[in-house]
Amino acid sequence: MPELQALIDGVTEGAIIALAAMAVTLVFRISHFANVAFGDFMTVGAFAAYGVVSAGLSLLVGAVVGLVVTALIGVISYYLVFKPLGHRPVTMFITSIGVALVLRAIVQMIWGGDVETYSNSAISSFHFGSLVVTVSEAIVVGVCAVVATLFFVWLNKTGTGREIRAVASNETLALVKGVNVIRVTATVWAVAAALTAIAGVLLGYTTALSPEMGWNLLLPAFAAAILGGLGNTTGAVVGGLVIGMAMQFAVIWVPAGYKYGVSFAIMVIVLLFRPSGIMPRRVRV
Amino acid sequence: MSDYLIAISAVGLIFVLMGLGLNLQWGHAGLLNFGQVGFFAIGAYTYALLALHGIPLAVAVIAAAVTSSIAAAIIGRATIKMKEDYLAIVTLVLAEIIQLVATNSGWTGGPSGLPGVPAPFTNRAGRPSQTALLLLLVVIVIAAIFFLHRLTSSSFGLTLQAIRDDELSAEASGSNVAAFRIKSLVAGAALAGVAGAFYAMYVLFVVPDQFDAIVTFYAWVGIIIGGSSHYGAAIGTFIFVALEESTRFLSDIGLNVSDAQIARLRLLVIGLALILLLRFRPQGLFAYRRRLPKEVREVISPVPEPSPPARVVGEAGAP
Repeated sequence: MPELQALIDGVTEGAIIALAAMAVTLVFRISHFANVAFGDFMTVGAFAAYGVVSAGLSLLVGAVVGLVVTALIGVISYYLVFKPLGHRPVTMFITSIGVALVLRAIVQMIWGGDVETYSNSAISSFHFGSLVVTVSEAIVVGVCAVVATLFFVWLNKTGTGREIRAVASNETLALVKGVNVIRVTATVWAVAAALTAIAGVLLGYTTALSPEMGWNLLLPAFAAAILGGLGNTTGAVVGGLVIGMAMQFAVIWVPAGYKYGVSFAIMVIVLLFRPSGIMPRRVRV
Repeated sequence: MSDYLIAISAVGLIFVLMGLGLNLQWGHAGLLNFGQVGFFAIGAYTYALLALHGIPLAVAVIAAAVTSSIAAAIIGRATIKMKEDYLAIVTLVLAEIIQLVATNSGWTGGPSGLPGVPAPFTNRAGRPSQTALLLLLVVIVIAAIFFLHRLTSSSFGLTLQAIRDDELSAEASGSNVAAFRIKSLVAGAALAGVAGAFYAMYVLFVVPDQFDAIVTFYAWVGIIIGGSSHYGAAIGTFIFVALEESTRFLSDIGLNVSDAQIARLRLLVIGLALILLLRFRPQGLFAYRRRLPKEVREVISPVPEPSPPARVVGEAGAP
C-alpha cells in the first residue's frame, strides 16, 4: 500500500513544513514581508541542538538550547536589522536574504559543510502489515500537534495573543490603544524563530543535518503559507500538511528528484488561480 | 598574473551583463526578480546544447537570448499582475525548478552536466583564446549599456520609471502597465541568457551546481552598490564580482585556505553586503550627488519601494 505509506510519511513531513509555514505567515502578518531567513533559522536551530548533543547531552536538552538560541537570533535580527528599516517590506524582503546567507555562512564556519545526524542508533518502528511507522515519525507528529495547539491557544486566548492580533489588523489603532507595538513585534519574531527551530530539530531528527537543510525546506514552507493564504496561521497548518502529503504522493509516480518541484508547482498554480489561498475567507487568525 | 586579470575580468563582465538585465527590471521597472540565475542557466544550457550539436556559435548565442526571453515572457504573462513579493517568490521557484530539471534530466547531462562546450577563437591546438573572448565581452557590454541607455531615455524608459514610482498614476495616464513590465522582464532575461551563453563558452562546461540561487544575489549586490543607473550597475557588479572572484586565487598567493572556506567567506560577504548596503546606502555607493533640496530628498526614496503593505491577500482582500 504505497499510498497509505505516503500518507504517513506525508503527514510527518507536512507537520514539519507546517511549523515553518506558521512562522513565515505569522511574521508576514506583523511585518508584511516573506522572511527568506526562516529557512536558515531552521538550520541554526538544528545545528545548535547538534552542538549540545555532540557534547554528550540528550536531544531534548539540545532542542531546548536550539530553540532558545534561535529565538534570540530572531529577536536580535529584528532589533538590529529589520526594525531600523521601518515600514519598507520590499527592502526587508531583500535584506532577509542577506540574513539567510550570513546565518548559513556562520553554520558552515562552526560545523563545517558535512552532513551530520543526531545519533546513529537504529530507529525502532511499528509495523502494521506492510506499513511502517517509525517511532521518530510518531514523535514528530506528536510534537508538532502539541506545539501547534499551544501556539493557537497562545495566539487566541492570551493577552499577548490579542495584542498581536490587534497589531496585525491595524497597527496604528493598536498603538493608539497603548499596545507596545515594538515589544509585540519582537515577541512575534521570537516565537516565529522558536517555531522554525523546532521544525529544524525535527527535520534533523527524521532525516539528517546539512547547512542547506533549511533552505531546501524554505520554498515548500512558502508554498504551504501561500496555499493557506499568507497571514493565515490556520491556513499555514493546512497548507503544510497538503504540501507534505502532495510531495510524498508525487514520488510514487514521478522521480524522487522532482519531489520539491511538486510543492513549487502547487505554489505557482495557487498564485495563478487563487492567490488568497485555499482557506475559506474571513477565518479568525 | 595577467591570466588572473583576464579570468577575473571575463567573469566580471559576464556578471555585468546579467546585472544590467536585473537593473533594468528592478532599478527601472521595480520588478523583484529573485531568479535571474534561472534565465542565466537557460542561456547557458541553450548555448551548450546547440554548440555541442554543431550549430554555429553566434546562432547559439542568439538562441540563448531567445529561449531565456521566451521563458521570461511566459513567467511575465502569468505573474505580472501579482504583488511584487509574489513575483520574487515565483522567479526564485523558477530558478530552483530549472536547476531541478537540469539535475534530473538526461538531455542536460544530469548532475555531471555537459562537458566540452565549444568556444570561439580557438587556436590550432584547439585552446580558446581568453583575451579574444574578453575583448568580445567588452564590446558586448558597451553595446548593452548603449542600448539600455537609449531604451531608458526613450519614452519607453520614462514610462517604466513612471510605473515604478507610481503605478496607479501611470495606469491612469494611459500606460499599459502590464505590457511594459513584461517587456522589461523579457529584455532583462535576454541579457541574462546572453550572459549564460558566454559563461558556458568561458568555462567550457555546464553543470547544475553553477546555477545555485546565490548567483542571482551576486548581481543583486552589484546593482545595489551601483544605484539604479546603467553605468553604476555595470561598475558595481564588475567590482563586486571581481573582488569575489579574486578570492579564488587566495591560495595561489600563499594563503592556506580551502575552496570550502572561500565559499563560506563569499556567502558571508554577500549576506553582509546586502544587509549593510540596504541599511546605510540604499541609493548605492555611486549614486548621483545631485544636491536636491532637503525637502525633496526626504520625499524621494532612492530604492523603489513600490507598494504599501495594504494589498495583503487574505483577510484584507475580501471583496
